[in-house]
Amino acid sequence: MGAHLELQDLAKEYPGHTALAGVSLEIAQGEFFGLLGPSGCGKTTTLRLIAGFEQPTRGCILLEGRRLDGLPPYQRNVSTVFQSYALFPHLTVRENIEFGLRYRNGEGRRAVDDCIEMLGLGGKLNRYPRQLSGGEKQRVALARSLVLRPAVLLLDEPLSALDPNLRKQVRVELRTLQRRVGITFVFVTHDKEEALSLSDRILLLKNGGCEQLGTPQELYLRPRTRFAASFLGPMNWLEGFGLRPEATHVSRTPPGAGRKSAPARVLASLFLGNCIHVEAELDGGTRIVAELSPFDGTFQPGERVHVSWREEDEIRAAEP
Amino acid sequence: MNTRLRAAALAPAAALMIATVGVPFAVLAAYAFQSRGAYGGVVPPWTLENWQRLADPLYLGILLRSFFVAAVSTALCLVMAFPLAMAITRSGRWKNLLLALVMLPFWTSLLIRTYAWMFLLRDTGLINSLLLKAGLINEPLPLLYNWGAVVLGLVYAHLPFMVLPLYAALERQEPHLLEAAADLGARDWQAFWRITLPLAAPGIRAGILLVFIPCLGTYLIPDLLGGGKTILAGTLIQNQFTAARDWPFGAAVSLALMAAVLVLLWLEARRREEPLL
Repeated sequence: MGAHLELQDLAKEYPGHTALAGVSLEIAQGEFFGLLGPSGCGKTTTLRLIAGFEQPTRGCILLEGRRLDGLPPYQRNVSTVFQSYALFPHLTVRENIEFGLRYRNGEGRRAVDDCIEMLGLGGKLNRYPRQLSGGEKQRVALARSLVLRPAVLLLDEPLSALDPNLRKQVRVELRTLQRRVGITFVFVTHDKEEALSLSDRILLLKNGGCEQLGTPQELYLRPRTRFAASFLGPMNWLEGFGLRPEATHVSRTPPGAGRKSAPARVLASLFLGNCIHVEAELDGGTRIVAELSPFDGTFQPGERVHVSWREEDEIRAAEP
Repeated sequence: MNTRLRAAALAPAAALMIATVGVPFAVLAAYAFQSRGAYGGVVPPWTLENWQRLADPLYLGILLRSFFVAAVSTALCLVMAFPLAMAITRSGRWKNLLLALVMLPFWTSLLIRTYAWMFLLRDTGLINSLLLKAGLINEPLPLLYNWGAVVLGLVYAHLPFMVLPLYAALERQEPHLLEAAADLGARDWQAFWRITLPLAAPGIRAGILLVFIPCLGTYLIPDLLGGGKTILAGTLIQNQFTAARDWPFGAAVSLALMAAVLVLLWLEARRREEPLL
Protein backbone atom coordinates (compact mmCIF):
# COMPACT_ATOMS: atom_id res chain seq x y z
CA MET A 1 0.00 0.00 0.00
CA GLY A 2 1.57 3.28 -1.10
CA ALA A 3 1.55 6.45 0.91
CA HIS A 4 -1.69 8.34 0.68
CA LEU A 5 -0.85 11.20 2.98
CA GLU A 6 2.80 11.92 3.49
CA LEU A 7 4.54 14.33 5.82
CA GLN A 8 8.17 15.06 5.05
CA ASP A 9 10.27 16.66 7.75
CA LEU A 10 7.33 18.83 8.72
CA ALA A 11 8.18 21.61 11.16
CA LYS A 12 6.45 24.60 12.64
CA GLU A 13 8.35 27.19 14.58
CA TYR A 14 6.92 30.16 16.42
CA PRO A 15 9.08 32.95 17.75
CA GLY A 16 10.75 31.48 20.80
CA HIS A 17 9.25 28.02 20.58
CA THR A 18 9.15 25.02 18.31
CA ALA A 19 5.73 23.43 18.02
CA LEU A 20 6.78 20.70 15.62
CA ALA A 21 10.41 19.79 15.05
CA GLY A 22 10.50 17.87 11.79
CA VAL A 23 8.13 14.93 11.61
CA SER A 24 8.10 12.48 8.70
CA LEU A 25 5.26 10.08 8.29
CA GLU A 26 3.40 8.02 5.71
CA ILE A 27 -0.27 7.24 6.18
CA ALA A 28 -2.00 4.68 3.97
CA GLN A 29 -5.36 5.05 2.24
CA GLY A 30 -8.17 4.00 4.56
CA GLU A 31 -6.02 4.03 7.68
CA PHE A 32 -7.37 5.19 11.03
CA PHE A 33 -4.34 7.05 12.29
CA GLY A 34 -3.86 8.43 15.79
CA LEU A 35 -1.63 11.31 16.81
CA LEU A 36 -1.04 10.83 20.53
CA GLY A 37 0.87 12.84 23.08
CA PRO A 38 0.68 15.14 26.07
CA SER A 39 -0.44 18.73 25.62
CA GLY A 40 2.12 20.83 23.79
CA CYS A 41 3.62 17.85 21.98
CA GLY A 42 2.70 19.18 18.53
CA LYS A 43 -0.19 16.85 17.69
CA THR A 44 -2.76 19.60 17.16
CA THR A 45 -0.22 21.65 15.21
CA THR A 46 0.29 18.66 12.90
CA LEU A 47 -3.45 18.44 12.31
CA ARG A 48 -3.74 22.18 11.66
CA LEU A 49 -0.84 22.04 9.21
CA ILE A 50 -2.54 19.25 7.26
CA ALA A 51 -5.85 21.17 7.29
CA GLY A 52 -4.08 24.34 6.11
CA PHE A 53 -4.97 26.60 9.04
CA GLU A 54 -1.25 27.07 9.60
CA GLN A 55 1.66 26.96 7.21
CA PRO A 56 4.76 24.91 8.02
CA THR A 57 8.09 26.66 8.45
CA ARG A 58 9.83 23.64 6.91
CA GLY A 59 8.98 20.41 5.17
CA CYS A 60 6.04 19.44 3.04
CA ILE A 61 2.73 17.61 3.01
CA LEU A 62 1.76 15.37 0.10
CA LEU A 63 -1.72 14.03 -0.56
CA GLU A 64 -1.80 11.37 -3.29
CA GLY A 65 1.55 12.72 -4.43
CA ARG A 66 0.32 16.31 -4.74
CA ARG A 67 1.73 19.00 -2.52
CA LEU A 68 -0.78 20.43 -0.06
CA ASP A 69 1.37 22.89 1.83
CA GLY A 70 0.96 26.38 0.51
CA LEU A 71 -2.65 25.77 -0.53
CA PRO A 72 -5.39 27.51 1.45
CA PRO A 73 -7.76 25.23 3.44
CA TYR A 74 -10.55 25.63 0.87
CA GLN A 75 -8.39 24.09 -1.85
CA ARG A 76 -7.37 21.01 0.12
CA ASN A 77 -9.33 17.81 -0.23
CA VAL A 78 -9.26 17.25 3.51
CA SER A 79 -11.83 18.21 6.11
CA THR A 80 -11.69 18.82 9.84
CA VAL A 81 -14.02 17.89 12.67
CA PHE A 82 -13.21 20.44 15.33
CA GLN A 83 -12.93 19.65 19.01
CA SER A 84 -15.73 22.15 19.68
CA TYR A 85 -17.43 20.95 16.46
CA ALA A 86 -17.64 24.60 15.27
CA LEU A 87 -21.18 24.16 13.99
CA PHE A 88 -22.66 27.34 12.53
CA PRO A 89 -25.09 28.47 15.24
CA HIS A 90 -27.38 30.43 12.92
CA LEU A 91 -27.88 27.55 10.49
CA THR A 92 -30.06 24.47 10.92
CA VAL A 93 -28.62 20.97 10.95
CA ARG A 94 -29.49 20.59 7.26
CA GLU A 95 -27.94 23.95 6.35
CA ASN A 96 -24.81 23.05 8.31
CA ILE A 97 -24.51 19.72 6.51
CA GLU A 98 -25.07 21.31 3.10
CA PHE A 99 -22.74 24.26 3.77
CA GLY A 100 -19.76 22.95 1.81
CA LEU A 101 -21.65 21.55 -1.16
CA ARG A 102 -21.84 24.98 -2.73
CA TYR A 103 -18.06 25.18 -2.98
CA ARG A 104 -16.90 21.62 -3.39
CA ASN A 105 -17.80 18.99 -5.94
CA GLY A 106 -19.46 16.60 -3.59
CA GLU A 107 -21.94 14.08 -4.85
CA GLY A 108 -24.62 16.57 -3.93
CA ARG A 109 -27.99 15.58 -2.63
CA ARG A 110 -27.35 11.85 -2.62
CA ALA A 111 -24.28 12.26 -0.44
CA VAL A 112 -26.30 14.44 1.93
CA ASP A 113 -29.09 11.88 2.17
CA ASP A 114 -26.59 9.05 2.68
CA CYS A 115 -24.78 10.90 5.46
CA ILE A 116 -28.00 11.91 7.18
CA GLU A 117 -29.16 8.34 7.12
CA MET A 118 -25.80 6.87 8.13
CA LEU A 119 -25.46 9.21 11.09
CA GLY A 120 -29.11 8.97 12.12
CA LEU A 121 -29.80 12.68 11.82
CA GLY A 122 -33.08 12.37 9.92
CA GLY A 123 -35.25 13.69 12.73
CA LYS A 124 -33.02 16.67 13.58
CA LEU A 125 -32.64 18.42 10.25
CA ASN A 126 -34.59 21.54 11.18
CA ARG A 127 -33.03 21.98 14.61
CA TYR A 128 -30.38 24.54 15.43
CA PRO A 129 -27.05 23.44 16.97
CA ARG A 130 -28.02 24.85 20.38
CA GLN A 131 -30.93 22.37 20.45
CA LEU A 132 -28.67 19.33 20.02
CA SER A 133 -26.93 17.08 22.52
CA GLY A 134 -23.13 16.71 22.43
CA GLY A 135 -23.32 13.43 20.56
CA GLU A 136 -25.71 14.88 17.99
CA LYS A 137 -23.47 17.89 17.44
CA GLN A 138 -20.59 15.58 16.76
CA ARG A 139 -22.61 13.63 14.23
CA VAL A 140 -23.61 16.85 12.45
CA ALA A 141 -19.95 17.90 12.34
CA LEU A 142 -19.04 14.48 10.89
CA ALA A 143 -21.84 14.67 8.33
CA ARG A 144 -20.88 18.21 7.32
CA SER A 145 -17.38 16.99 6.48
CA LEU A 146 -18.27 13.59 5.05
CA VAL A 147 -20.75 14.89 2.45
CA LEU A 148 -17.73 16.41 0.72
CA ARG A 149 -16.10 12.97 0.45
CA PRO A 150 -12.71 14.30 1.55
CA ALA A 151 -9.62 12.17 0.92
CA VAL A 152 -8.68 12.59 4.57
CA LEU A 153 -10.85 13.42 7.57
CA LEU A 154 -9.04 15.17 10.40
CA LEU A 155 -10.52 14.88 13.89
CA ASP A 156 -9.32 17.03 16.76
CA GLU A 157 -9.90 15.26 20.10
CA PRO A 158 -13.09 13.72 18.72
CA LEU A 159 -14.35 12.32 22.02
CA SER A 160 -13.20 14.91 24.53
CA ALA A 161 -16.31 17.10 24.39
CA LEU A 162 -18.59 14.13 25.04
CA ASP A 163 -19.99 12.94 28.31
CA PRO A 164 -17.75 10.10 29.63
CA ASN A 165 -20.61 7.59 29.51
CA LEU A 166 -21.07 8.28 25.83
CA ARG A 167 -17.40 8.01 24.89
CA LYS A 168 -17.12 4.23 24.77
CA GLN A 169 -20.20 3.97 22.61
CA VAL A 170 -19.07 6.74 20.22
CA ARG A 171 -15.65 5.09 19.99
CA VAL A 172 -17.24 1.99 18.53
CA GLU A 173 -19.46 4.09 16.25
CA LEU A 174 -16.52 6.09 14.94
CA ARG A 175 -14.55 2.96 14.16
CA THR A 176 -17.54 1.43 12.36
CA LEU A 177 -18.20 4.65 10.47
CA GLN A 178 -14.59 4.88 9.32
CA ARG A 179 -14.66 1.28 8.02
CA ARG A 180 -17.92 1.99 6.25
CA VAL A 181 -16.87 5.16 4.45
CA GLY A 182 -13.32 3.95 3.80
CA ILE A 183 -11.89 7.44 4.20
CA THR A 184 -8.51 7.96 5.84
CA PHE A 185 -9.07 9.31 9.37
CA VAL A 186 -6.31 11.17 11.19
CA PHE A 187 -7.18 12.07 14.75
CA VAL A 188 -5.53 13.79 17.64
CA THR A 189 -5.88 12.68 21.22
CA HIS A 190 -4.13 12.87 24.56
CA ASP A 191 -6.05 9.86 25.80
CA LYS A 192 -4.11 6.61 25.47
CA GLU A 193 -7.20 4.45 25.66
CA GLU A 194 -8.80 6.38 22.80
CA ALA A 195 -5.65 6.09 20.72
CA LEU A 196 -5.23 2.38 21.42
CA SER A 197 -8.83 1.48 20.74
CA LEU A 198 -9.40 3.52 17.58
CA SER A 199 -6.12 3.55 15.69
CA ASP A 200 -4.67 1.22 13.12
CA ARG A 201 -1.38 2.94 13.86
CA ILE A 202 -0.33 5.57 16.36
CA LEU A 203 2.34 8.23 16.25
CA LEU A 204 3.40 9.17 19.75
CA LEU A 205 4.75 12.72 19.86
CA LYS A 206 6.82 14.41 22.55
CA ASN A 207 8.07 17.99 22.54
CA GLY A 208 7.34 18.38 18.83
CA GLY A 209 9.27 15.26 17.85
CA CYS A 210 8.38 11.71 16.89
CA GLU A 211 8.76 9.40 19.91
CA GLN A 212 7.45 6.18 18.43
CA LEU A 213 5.37 5.05 15.48
CA GLY A 214 3.59 1.73 15.44
CA THR A 215 0.46 -0.31 15.90
CA PRO A 216 -1.35 -0.06 19.26
CA GLN A 217 0.11 -3.46 20.19
CA GLU A 218 3.64 -2.35 19.33
CA LEU A 219 3.32 0.83 21.34
CA TYR A 220 1.80 -0.85 24.34
CA LEU A 221 3.79 -4.09 24.40
CA ARG A 222 7.07 -2.92 22.84
CA PRO A 223 7.51 0.74 23.77
CA ARG A 224 10.97 1.91 22.81
CA THR A 225 11.41 4.50 25.53
CA ARG A 226 10.41 4.83 29.15
CA PHE A 227 8.31 7.85 28.16
CA ALA A 228 6.38 5.79 25.60
CA ALA A 229 5.95 2.93 28.04
CA SER A 230 4.63 5.14 30.84
CA PHE A 231 2.48 7.28 28.57
CA LEU A 232 0.58 4.26 27.29
CA GLY A 233 -0.09 2.70 30.67
CA PRO A 234 1.17 1.94 34.18
CA MET A 235 4.58 0.29 34.43
CA ASN A 236 6.68 -1.52 37.01
CA TRP A 237 10.31 -0.57 36.58
CA LEU A 238 12.68 -3.29 37.66
CA GLU A 239 16.44 -3.41 37.13
CA GLY A 240 17.09 -3.05 33.42
CA PHE A 241 13.56 -3.63 32.22
CA GLY A 242 9.90 -2.88 32.82
CA LEU A 243 6.75 -4.92 33.25
CA ARG A 244 3.08 -4.10 32.66
CA PRO A 245 1.01 -4.79 35.82
CA GLU A 246 -1.04 -7.33 33.89
CA ALA A 247 2.14 -9.20 32.91
CA THR A 248 3.21 -9.30 36.55
CA HIS A 249 1.97 -12.22 38.59
CA VAL A 250 1.86 -12.74 42.34
CA SER A 251 1.57 -16.19 43.93
CA ARG A 252 2.06 -17.91 47.26
CA THR A 253 3.77 -20.91 45.73
CA PRO A 254 6.92 -20.63 43.61
CA PRO A 255 6.10 -20.21 39.90
CA GLY A 256 6.54 -23.04 37.47
CA ALA A 257 9.57 -23.50 35.27
CA GLY A 258 10.16 -20.93 32.52
CA ARG A 259 9.03 -17.99 34.63
CA LYS A 260 11.37 -15.51 36.22
CA SER A 261 10.57 -14.58 39.80
CA ALA A 262 11.57 -12.54 42.83
CA PRO A 263 10.56 -12.83 46.49
CA ALA A 264 8.34 -10.03 47.81
CA ARG A 265 6.01 -8.89 50.57
CA VAL A 266 2.42 -7.80 49.94
CA LEU A 267 1.65 -4.20 50.85
CA ALA A 268 -1.99 -4.07 49.82
CA SER A 269 -4.50 -6.08 47.88
CA LEU A 270 -7.65 -4.53 46.45
CA PHE A 271 -10.49 -6.49 44.91
CA LEU A 272 -11.86 -4.43 42.00
CA GLY A 273 -14.34 -6.91 40.58
CA ASN A 274 -12.84 -7.46 37.15
CA CYS A 275 -9.34 -7.74 38.62
CA ILE A 276 -7.34 -7.80 41.81
CA HIS A 277 -4.89 -4.98 42.28
CA VAL A 278 -1.90 -6.10 44.36
CA GLU A 279 0.89 -3.85 45.52
CA ALA A 280 4.04 -5.55 46.72
CA GLU A 281 7.60 -4.70 47.70
CA LEU A 282 10.43 -6.81 46.28
CA ASP A 283 13.13 -7.73 48.75
CA GLY A 284 15.41 -5.22 47.06
CA GLY A 285 12.94 -2.46 48.01
CA THR A 286 11.34 -1.93 44.57
CA ARG A 287 7.58 -1.50 44.65
CA ILE A 288 5.50 -3.21 42.00
CA VAL A 289 1.85 -3.38 41.05
CA ALA A 290 0.22 -6.52 39.71
CA GLU A 291 -3.18 -6.99 38.18
CA LEU A 292 -4.45 -10.48 38.78
CA SER A 293 -7.53 -12.33 37.73
CA PRO A 294 -10.32 -12.06 40.32
CA PHE A 295 -10.32 -15.86 40.44
CA ASP A 296 -6.76 -15.92 41.82
CA GLY A 297 -7.85 -15.33 45.43
CA THR A 298 -6.82 -12.45 47.68
CA PHE A 299 -3.69 -11.67 49.63
CA GLN A 300 -3.12 -10.28 53.10
CA PRO A 301 -0.81 -7.30 53.72
CA GLY A 302 2.56 -8.50 54.99
CA GLU A 303 2.21 -11.91 53.35
CA ARG A 304 5.34 -13.36 51.70
CA VAL A 305 4.80 -14.01 48.01
CA HIS A 306 6.58 -14.70 44.74
CA VAL A 307 6.40 -12.06 42.03
CA SER A 308 6.86 -13.70 38.63
CA TRP A 309 6.76 -12.91 34.93
CA ARG A 310 7.63 -14.32 31.52
CA GLU A 311 10.90 -13.20 30.07
CA GLU A 312 9.22 -12.27 26.76
CA ASP A 313 6.98 -9.80 28.60
CA GLU A 314 9.94 -7.75 29.79
CA ILE A 315 9.93 -4.29 28.23
CA ARG A 316 13.41 -3.07 27.35
CA ALA A 317 12.92 0.66 27.03
CA ALA A 318 15.62 3.24 26.53
CA GLU A 319 15.96 6.11 29.00
CA PRO A 320 14.33 8.37 29.64
CA MET B 1 -33.72 38.70 45.52
CA ASN B 2 -36.47 39.79 47.84
CA THR B 3 -39.15 41.81 46.05
CA ARG B 4 -39.11 44.75 48.42
CA LEU B 5 -35.33 45.09 48.11
CA ARG B 6 -35.62 44.85 44.33
CA ALA B 7 -38.25 47.58 44.28
CA ALA B 8 -36.06 49.78 46.48
CA ALA B 9 -33.04 49.22 44.24
CA LEU B 10 -35.00 50.11 41.12
CA ALA B 11 -36.71 53.15 42.63
CA PRO B 12 -33.98 55.77 41.93
CA ALA B 13 -33.73 54.82 38.26
CA ALA B 14 -37.51 54.66 37.93
CA ALA B 15 -37.91 58.07 39.55
CA LEU B 16 -35.27 59.57 37.26
CA MET B 17 -36.90 58.06 34.17
CA ILE B 18 -40.33 59.38 35.19
CA ALA B 19 -38.94 62.85 35.90
CA THR B 20 -36.78 63.16 32.78
CA VAL B 21 -38.74 61.13 30.22
CA GLY B 22 -42.26 60.61 31.44
CA VAL B 23 -43.05 64.16 32.62
CA PRO B 24 -41.52 65.99 29.59
CA PHE B 25 -43.33 63.56 27.32
CA ALA B 26 -46.65 64.34 29.02
CA VAL B 27 -45.92 68.08 28.76
CA LEU B 28 -45.10 67.75 25.05
CA ALA B 29 -48.25 65.74 24.46
CA ALA B 30 -50.32 68.38 26.21
CA TYR B 31 -48.66 71.26 24.28
CA ALA B 32 -49.04 69.58 20.91
CA PHE B 33 -52.81 69.80 21.05
CA GLN B 34 -53.13 73.46 22.12
CA SER B 35 -52.70 76.84 20.39
CA ARG B 36 -49.67 79.12 20.41
CA GLY B 37 -49.40 82.04 22.79
CA ALA B 38 -48.38 85.41 21.37
CA TYR B 39 -45.05 85.41 23.26
CA GLY B 40 -44.42 81.66 23.41
CA GLY B 41 -46.11 79.18 25.69
CA VAL B 42 -49.46 77.63 24.97
CA VAL B 43 -53.02 78.80 25.30
CA PRO B 44 -56.37 77.11 24.87
CA PRO B 45 -58.31 76.05 22.92
CA TRP B 46 -57.42 72.42 22.24
CA THR B 47 -56.88 71.86 18.53
CA LEU B 48 -55.55 69.44 15.90
CA GLU B 49 -54.22 72.28 13.78
CA ASN B 50 -50.52 71.62 14.68
CA TRP B 51 -50.82 68.11 13.33
CA GLN B 52 -52.49 69.26 10.11
CA ARG B 53 -49.54 71.60 9.50
CA LEU B 54 -47.16 68.65 9.54
CA ALA B 55 -48.61 67.57 6.20
CA ASP B 56 -47.43 70.87 4.68
CA PRO B 57 -44.85 69.93 1.98
CA LEU B 58 -42.36 72.32 3.58
CA TYR B 59 -42.39 70.50 6.93
CA LEU B 60 -42.93 67.07 5.45
CA GLY B 61 -39.87 67.74 3.28
CA ILE B 62 -37.77 68.61 6.33
CA LEU B 63 -38.85 65.42 8.11
CA LEU B 64 -38.14 63.25 5.06
CA ARG B 65 -34.79 64.97 4.57
CA SER B 66 -33.94 64.24 8.20
CA PHE B 67 -34.68 60.57 7.66
CA PHE B 68 -32.56 60.58 4.53
CA VAL B 69 -29.57 62.30 6.15
CA ALA B 70 -29.80 60.01 9.20
CA ALA B 71 -29.99 56.94 6.94
CA VAL B 72 -27.00 58.01 4.83
CA SER B 73 -24.95 58.78 7.94
CA THR B 74 -25.90 55.47 9.53
CA ALA B 75 -24.99 53.56 6.37
CA LEU B 76 -21.62 55.29 6.15
CA CYS B 77 -20.97 54.55 9.83
CA LEU B 78 -21.81 50.87 9.27
CA VAL B 79 -19.58 50.56 6.22
CA MET B 80 -16.65 52.16 8.04
CA ALA B 81 -17.21 50.59 11.45
CA PHE B 82 -17.49 46.98 10.31
CA PRO B 83 -13.93 46.57 9.03
CA LEU B 84 -12.68 48.58 11.99
CA ALA B 85 -14.51 46.38 14.50
CA MET B 86 -13.24 43.25 12.73
CA ALA B 87 -9.69 44.55 12.79
CA ILE B 88 -9.94 45.33 16.50
CA THR B 89 -11.30 41.84 17.23
CA ARG B 90 -8.23 40.37 15.57
CA SER B 91 -5.64 42.78 16.92
CA GLY B 92 -4.51 40.56 19.80
CA ARG B 93 -2.74 42.50 22.49
CA TRP B 94 -3.52 45.87 20.91
CA LYS B 95 -7.24 45.30 21.40
CA ASN B 96 -7.70 47.33 24.56
CA LEU B 97 -5.60 50.21 23.28
CA LEU B 98 -7.58 50.37 20.04
CA LEU B 99 -10.88 50.28 21.90
CA ALA B 100 -9.67 53.10 24.12
CA LEU B 101 -8.80 55.10 20.99
CA VAL B 102 -12.30 54.53 19.61
CA MET B 103 -13.72 55.99 22.81
CA LEU B 104 -11.14 58.77 23.08
CA PRO B 105 -13.41 61.45 21.46
CA PHE B 106 -15.81 61.09 24.38
CA TRP B 107 -13.19 62.71 26.59
CA THR B 108 -14.09 66.05 25.02
CA SER B 109 -17.52 67.58 24.59
CA LEU B 110 -19.23 67.17 21.23
CA LEU B 111 -19.59 70.95 21.00
CA ILE B 112 -15.82 71.46 21.16
CA ARG B 113 -15.16 68.67 18.70
CA THR B 114 -17.69 70.14 16.27
CA TYR B 115 -16.05 73.57 16.54
CA ALA B 116 -12.75 71.84 15.83
CA TRP B 117 -14.24 70.56 12.58
CA MET B 118 -15.25 74.12 11.69
CA PHE B 119 -11.66 75.23 12.20
CA LEU B 120 -10.51 72.45 9.91
CA LEU B 121 -13.12 72.95 7.19
CA ARG B 122 -13.67 76.70 6.92
CA ASP B 123 -12.24 78.82 4.09
CA THR B 124 -9.27 79.91 6.21
CA GLY B 125 -9.13 76.52 7.95
CA LEU B 126 -6.26 74.10 8.10
CA ILE B 127 -7.23 72.05 5.07
CA ASN B 128 -7.87 74.97 2.74
CA SER B 129 -4.78 76.92 3.83
CA LEU B 130 -2.55 73.88 3.33
CA LEU B 131 -4.01 73.21 -0.10
CA LEU B 132 -3.65 76.90 -1.01
CA LYS B 133 -0.08 76.98 0.23
CA ALA B 134 0.75 73.85 -1.71
CA GLY B 135 -0.65 75.55 -4.80
CA LEU B 136 -3.13 72.77 -5.44
CA ILE B 137 -6.08 75.16 -5.43
CA ASN B 138 -6.45 78.86 -6.19
CA GLU B 139 -9.41 79.60 -3.99
CA PRO B 140 -10.70 77.87 -0.88
CA LEU B 141 -12.86 74.79 -1.41
CA PRO B 142 -16.40 75.14 0.01
CA LEU B 143 -15.91 72.50 2.69
CA LEU B 144 -18.10 73.99 5.38
CA TYR B 145 -21.78 74.98 5.56
CA ASN B 146 -23.15 72.31 3.25
CA TRP B 147 -24.71 68.84 3.44
CA GLY B 148 -21.34 67.17 3.02
CA ALA B 149 -20.05 68.85 6.16
CA VAL B 150 -23.21 67.87 8.06
CA VAL B 151 -22.95 64.20 7.08
CA LEU B 152 -19.21 64.23 7.82
CA GLY B 153 -19.90 65.62 11.28
CA LEU B 154 -22.68 63.12 11.96
CA VAL B 155 -20.58 60.16 10.86
CA TYR B 156 -17.62 61.39 12.87
CA ALA B 157 -19.68 61.91 16.03
CA HIS B 158 -21.54 58.59 15.86
CA LEU B 159 -18.90 56.19 14.59
CA PRO B 160 -18.01 54.91 18.09
CA PHE B 161 -21.66 54.03 18.72
CA MET B 162 -21.50 51.75 15.70
CA VAL B 163 -18.04 50.31 16.39
CA LEU B 164 -18.71 49.22 19.96
CA PRO B 165 -21.81 47.02 19.45
CA LEU B 166 -20.26 45.54 16.29
CA TYR B 167 -17.10 44.78 18.21
CA ALA B 168 -19.12 43.13 20.99
CA ALA B 169 -20.96 40.95 18.46
CA LEU B 170 -17.84 39.99 16.51
CA GLU B 171 -15.80 39.30 19.62
CA ARG B 172 -18.33 36.68 20.71
CA GLN B 173 -17.96 34.66 17.52
CA GLU B 174 -16.04 31.45 17.92
CA PRO B 175 -12.86 31.82 15.82
CA HIS B 176 -13.08 28.20 14.70
CA LEU B 177 -16.24 29.03 12.74
CA LEU B 178 -14.27 30.82 10.04
CA GLU B 179 -11.73 28.02 9.94
CA ALA B 180 -14.61 25.55 9.59
CA ALA B 181 -16.05 27.59 6.72
CA ALA B 182 -12.68 27.67 4.93
CA ASP B 183 -12.27 23.97 5.62
CA LEU B 184 -15.61 23.31 3.94
CA GLY B 185 -14.50 25.23 0.87
CA ALA B 186 -15.63 28.81 1.45
CA ARG B 187 -13.27 31.58 0.45
CA ASP B 188 -12.72 34.47 2.84
CA TRP B 189 -15.46 36.66 1.38
CA GLN B 190 -17.91 33.76 1.19
CA ALA B 191 -17.23 32.94 4.85
CA PHE B 192 -17.71 36.62 5.68
CA TRP B 193 -21.02 36.72 3.87
CA ARG B 194 -22.44 33.48 5.24
CA ILE B 195 -20.92 33.38 8.73
CA THR B 196 -19.48 36.63 10.04
CA LEU B 197 -22.19 38.95 8.77
CA PRO B 198 -25.30 36.98 9.83
CA LEU B 199 -23.79 36.26 13.24
CA ALA B 200 -23.06 39.97 13.69
CA ALA B 201 -26.73 40.82 13.01
CA PRO B 202 -27.58 41.68 16.63
CA GLY B 203 -24.61 44.06 16.75
CA ILE B 204 -25.57 45.59 13.41
CA ARG B 205 -29.12 46.16 14.66
CA ALA B 206 -27.92 47.71 17.91
CA GLY B 207 -25.43 49.93 16.06
CA ILE B 208 -28.06 51.11 13.57
CA LEU B 209 -30.42 52.06 16.40
CA LEU B 210 -27.68 53.79 18.38
CA VAL B 211 -26.65 55.88 15.36
CA PHE B 212 -29.86 56.38 13.40
CA ILE B 213 -32.01 57.65 16.27
CA PRO B 214 -29.60 60.34 17.52
CA CYS B 215 -28.87 61.39 13.92
CA LEU B 216 -32.57 61.82 13.29
CA GLY B 217 -32.99 64.29 16.11
CA THR B 218 -29.61 65.95 15.80
CA TYR B 219 -29.48 69.69 16.20
CA LEU B 220 -25.97 70.80 17.10
CA ILE B 221 -24.06 69.38 14.12
CA PRO B 222 -26.35 70.58 11.28
CA ASP B 223 -26.59 73.95 12.98
CA LEU B 224 -22.82 74.45 13.27
CA LEU B 225 -21.51 72.60 10.21
CA GLY B 226 -24.50 73.35 8.00
CA GLY B 227 -24.49 77.01 8.94
CA GLY B 228 -28.27 77.30 9.11
CA LYS B 229 -28.59 76.47 5.42
CA THR B 230 -29.42 72.88 6.17
CA ILE B 231 -32.69 72.62 8.02
CA LEU B 232 -33.33 69.26 9.63
CA ALA B 233 -35.99 68.16 12.10
CA GLY B 234 -33.86 69.10 15.12
CA THR B 235 -33.35 72.62 13.83
CA LEU B 236 -37.03 72.92 12.98
CA ILE B 237 -38.04 71.95 16.52
CA GLN B 238 -35.49 74.30 18.06
CA ASN B 239 -36.77 77.11 15.86
CA GLN B 240 -40.37 76.60 16.89
CA PHE B 241 -39.47 76.87 20.56
CA THR B 242 -37.27 79.96 20.06
CA ALA B 243 -37.52 82.30 17.08
CA ALA B 244 -40.95 81.19 15.84
CA ARG B 245 -42.47 81.12 19.33
CA ASP B 246 -44.73 78.27 18.28
CA TRP B 247 -44.41 75.78 21.12
CA PRO B 248 -47.44 73.66 20.16
CA PHE B 249 -46.10 73.05 16.64
CA GLY B 250 -42.60 72.31 17.99
CA ALA B 251 -44.16 69.76 20.35
CA ALA B 252 -46.10 68.18 17.48
CA VAL B 253 -42.93 67.85 15.34
CA SER B 254 -41.09 66.25 18.30
CA LEU B 255 -43.85 63.76 18.87
CA ALA B 256 -44.16 62.98 15.16
CA LEU B 257 -40.44 62.19 15.01
CA MET B 258 -40.71 59.99 18.09
CA ALA B 259 -43.74 58.20 16.64
CA ALA B 260 -41.89 57.56 13.39
CA VAL B 261 -38.99 55.96 15.28
CA LEU B 262 -41.38 53.83 17.31
CA VAL B 263 -43.08 52.61 14.13
CA LEU B 264 -39.70 51.64 12.69
CA LEU B 265 -38.76 49.77 15.86
CA TRP B 266 -42.12 48.01 15.87
CA LEU B 267 -41.79 46.95 12.24
CA GLU B 268 -38.30 45.60 12.94
CA ALA B 269 -39.49 43.67 16.00
CA ARG B 270 -42.31 42.17 13.95
CA ARG B 271 -39.95 41.15 11.17
CA ARG B 272 -37.67 39.41 13.65
CA GLU B 273 -40.41 37.06 14.76
CA GLU B 274 -39.88 35.40 11.39
CA PRO B 275 -37.06 32.84 11.40
CA LEU B 276 -33.75 34.67 11.69
CA LEU B 277 -32.38 35.67 8.26
